[in-house]
Amino acid sequence: MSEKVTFSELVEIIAEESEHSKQFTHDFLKDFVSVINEGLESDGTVNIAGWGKFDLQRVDEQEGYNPQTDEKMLIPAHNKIVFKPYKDVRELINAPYAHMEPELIEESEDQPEETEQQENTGRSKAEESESVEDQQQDEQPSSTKEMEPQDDFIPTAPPTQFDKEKDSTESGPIDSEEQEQQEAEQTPELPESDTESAETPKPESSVVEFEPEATSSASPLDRPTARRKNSISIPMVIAASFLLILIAGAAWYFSILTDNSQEKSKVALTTRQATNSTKNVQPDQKPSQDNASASQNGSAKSTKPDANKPKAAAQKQVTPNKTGNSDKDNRKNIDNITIDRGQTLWSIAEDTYGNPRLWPWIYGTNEPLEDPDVIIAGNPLDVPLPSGPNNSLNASDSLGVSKGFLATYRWYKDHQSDKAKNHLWAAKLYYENLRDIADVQIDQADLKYANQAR
Amino acid sequence: MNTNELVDRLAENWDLSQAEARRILDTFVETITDHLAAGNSFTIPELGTFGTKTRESRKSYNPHYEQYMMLPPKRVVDFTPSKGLKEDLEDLEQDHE
Repeated sequence: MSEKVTFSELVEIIAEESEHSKQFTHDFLKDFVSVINEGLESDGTVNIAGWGKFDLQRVDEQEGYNPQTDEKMLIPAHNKIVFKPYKDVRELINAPYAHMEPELIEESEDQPEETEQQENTGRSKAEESESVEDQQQDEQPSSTKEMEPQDDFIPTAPPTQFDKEKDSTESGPIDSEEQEQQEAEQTPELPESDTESAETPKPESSVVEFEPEATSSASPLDRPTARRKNSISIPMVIAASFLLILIAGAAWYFSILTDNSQEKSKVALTTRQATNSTKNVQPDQKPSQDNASASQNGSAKSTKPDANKPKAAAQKQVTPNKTGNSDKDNRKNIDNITIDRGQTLWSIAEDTYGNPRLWPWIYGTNEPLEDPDVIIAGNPLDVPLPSGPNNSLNASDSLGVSKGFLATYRWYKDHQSDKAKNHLWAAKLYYENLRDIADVQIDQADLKYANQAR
Repeated sequence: MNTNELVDRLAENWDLSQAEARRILDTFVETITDHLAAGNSFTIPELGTFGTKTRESRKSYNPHYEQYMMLPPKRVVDFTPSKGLKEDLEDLEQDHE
């Protein structure tokens, strides 16, 4: 894989592609380099379109060690040359890891335990106030202020809430008992909360969080949270209280949502039973199906996915379900979805893998697809899922990806598209021995192109 | 110096049209990015060595979420300037900054 390419080899390739003699290309490149050098000397920066930027940076005088003698020495001020590739190039280089994303480390040892405790007590308090709210202003429509930011904070809402909700949506009307039980679970906490915070839950909670810090615990407050917080800085307290308010809003919102979705699921259940022979129903399939049937006639390929458009309450549920289900999805290797309006293979791949360039994998998995550039909203689609750890591809996955690229290669080749050779190249990237898996005629010139890139 | 100035100079030096000089430059850039993407390394005399290296995944503190994150491994371009170029420019006084 990583081999050294000599300058003369480079010259040879470039000469061939640009249809000049080797001698000319060699001299031209030499001159190119010297022009870069001059540019660095005169301007301190050289920008080459499509590739990157050379920069001269001044490094100040600093102390250092001589690694051989361990002696301290003074490194004089000097210039250093840095090269910063363009974003496109960086992304191309990083392609093998592009599907991976930073992950939160759950138990961070540096974080004080107190914060967690505080959050727990705070959360239960928030739930209390939320249930109070439910009782007092039962059918009042939720204020939009709470709804908007809440989307961002979905992952922080208590997970148990999601699970319960999922159960109730999945099993539909049968579980109305459980639903009541769930509500009953929330209410018992109510009597314990003091009446003061019950009357005006939201403003009160923020004041309560803040007070102990401001008065620096001069008055011994009877709440346990007050004592704990002495060691925590002001901004953290503010942040925490803000978070708690949001969680309270989210929890309340979801409890309302369950009522709505239950009615919906009654309707959806009948259609689902009719259309779906597989018993293996994904929870988030229902909402998307609702959408799809609503926009049955919509054409497929559009540039912007309008998934963010808030429509019905049911659609909003897609988001929490996705996060809640990520464990479940990992276990199955194929996710059966219904194509939504505005979705493209590219966008689906981006949502599923974090790397839109893997879309041929989906194409290759779905035999009935013809034109890789056209998918029809409302049709079912099998989305293969990576089975390696951390959403990464294992050997059989990359074989599948390679086959997908071969399928797209074949299509583009049949339709005389220039893209074909790039897809062959990508296929080779994911699986070395293309000939073993190729069920299509591979053009020699294209194969040469793919091999050259290795 | 930007690409246009660079192309200007090259076209002048070699008595080429600007389009032609640009085409050769583009071919050059395309060739080397392809090689880099494939993990190959190469040296361009007087300029330096280009290659790729992989940064290990590491733990990092995200000040926004105030939490530790595990950053995934990353493959990056590694450029080492050639010695001649480095020495030429090392002590150059910069007055354009």
